[in-house]
Amino acid sequence: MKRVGNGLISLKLNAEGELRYITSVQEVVKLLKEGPNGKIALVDDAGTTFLAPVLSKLAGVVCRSGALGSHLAIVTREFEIPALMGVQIENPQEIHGKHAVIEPEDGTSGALYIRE
Amino acid sequence: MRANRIPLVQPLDTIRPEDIETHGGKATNIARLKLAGFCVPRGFSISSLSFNRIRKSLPEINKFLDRLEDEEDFEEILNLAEKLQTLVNSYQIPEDLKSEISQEFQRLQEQQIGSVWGYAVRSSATIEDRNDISFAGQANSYLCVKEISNIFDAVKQVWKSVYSPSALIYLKNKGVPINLVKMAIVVQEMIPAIVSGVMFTANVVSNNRKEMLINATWGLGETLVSGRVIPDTFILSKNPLSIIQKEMGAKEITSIVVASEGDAKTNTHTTPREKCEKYTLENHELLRVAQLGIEIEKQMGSPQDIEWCIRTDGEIVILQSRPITSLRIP
Repeated sequence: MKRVGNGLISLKLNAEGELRYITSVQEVVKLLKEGPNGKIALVDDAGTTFLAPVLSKLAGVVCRSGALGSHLAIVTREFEIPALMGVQIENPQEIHGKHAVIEPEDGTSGALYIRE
Repeated sequence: MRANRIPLVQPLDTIRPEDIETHGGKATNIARLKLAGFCVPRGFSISSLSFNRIRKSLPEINKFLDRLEDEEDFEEILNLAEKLQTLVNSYQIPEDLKSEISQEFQRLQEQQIGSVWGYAVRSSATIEDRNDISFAGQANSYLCVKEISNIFDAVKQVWKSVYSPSALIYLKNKGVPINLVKMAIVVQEMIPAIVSGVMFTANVVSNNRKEMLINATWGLGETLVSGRVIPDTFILSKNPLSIIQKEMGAKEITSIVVASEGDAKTNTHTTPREKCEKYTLENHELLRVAQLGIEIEKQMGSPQDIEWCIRTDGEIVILQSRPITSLRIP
């Protein structure tokens, strides 16, 4: 497993699953049709509301901006799935489709790992 | 009879806790804090009765809502959301409501010398008997609204946003029938904030009620709640009050209120580097914000999710407070 980033974790929970980089509502629809169960969604913006249709079925969410007070963090917490917020990922396309793990660390930190 | 009529619009400081069904959580909580002596923005609330009247005057809405109840197909939900939003758009705000809004608006304008910043128009939704639903970010807010005609427009847009695809799907996922949502609207003065933040009076990450968690960024809080910046994060122990952890965020952009002749708007710019690399709150300020959080929690009787800001004169203003929706029973 390779550590690809760290951020603030919305809930002290582990998550594991295939990572999907999602940037539009069309991609959400596609994911919904394939079956979002157990997947991890990677998004750019924590203001994101387009994840709503899949949120309850995801294993976790990784977000390239935001923090624990962002709406995405609040709403994912209600669905009891961890969101890793404010993760700096240079090239999100590179990890799209790979097996990912979200792991809580000390305090409010968490890390994202990818299986090579 | 006329004297007993329930007003459609009420100043925030006349709202009481039992008005939650008509004025929603946001308005009721602000009123409670105001009554307890906390500094909150002035404003008024448009009761949810006005929202209900839309459905009475446009019965087609009920037809679509019924269809929505059993609909699982995502594209069909999007389609219904669009139909519902078009209907709300076509709705004419009744004259009696317009006149009550105008009256309260006028009163605010007169009281308030510094209304150059305009007003924020925000949703105050209540979902019957549910305290596990935040509805966070699901309905739209409008900032720096100045003219009365723009207030009317913003009110309609907030109503409309209840039927946005994301709001409908959020409620569906939560198993809440959309017709249980009662939607009031708060109109409150804009606060030109230097620093804004969100404070959870329990550590929502570790589910620890002995700690609290504060996020803060420069300028208005809109960039923070919408997740467009990585804010500073602070963890504090509540008793005795002390700082446990500080984590600096990049605070990439800053949104501020700019007022010019007859107009006010928000302006977003790249945060200067020296401010990115500086904590938004000095330790003594952080402790002052946290202390207020503890007092609010005591006042409200449960751990709270609080939006606050620091005004240009240094005063901490409480913009909203709602119960934390995701704490597990200890």
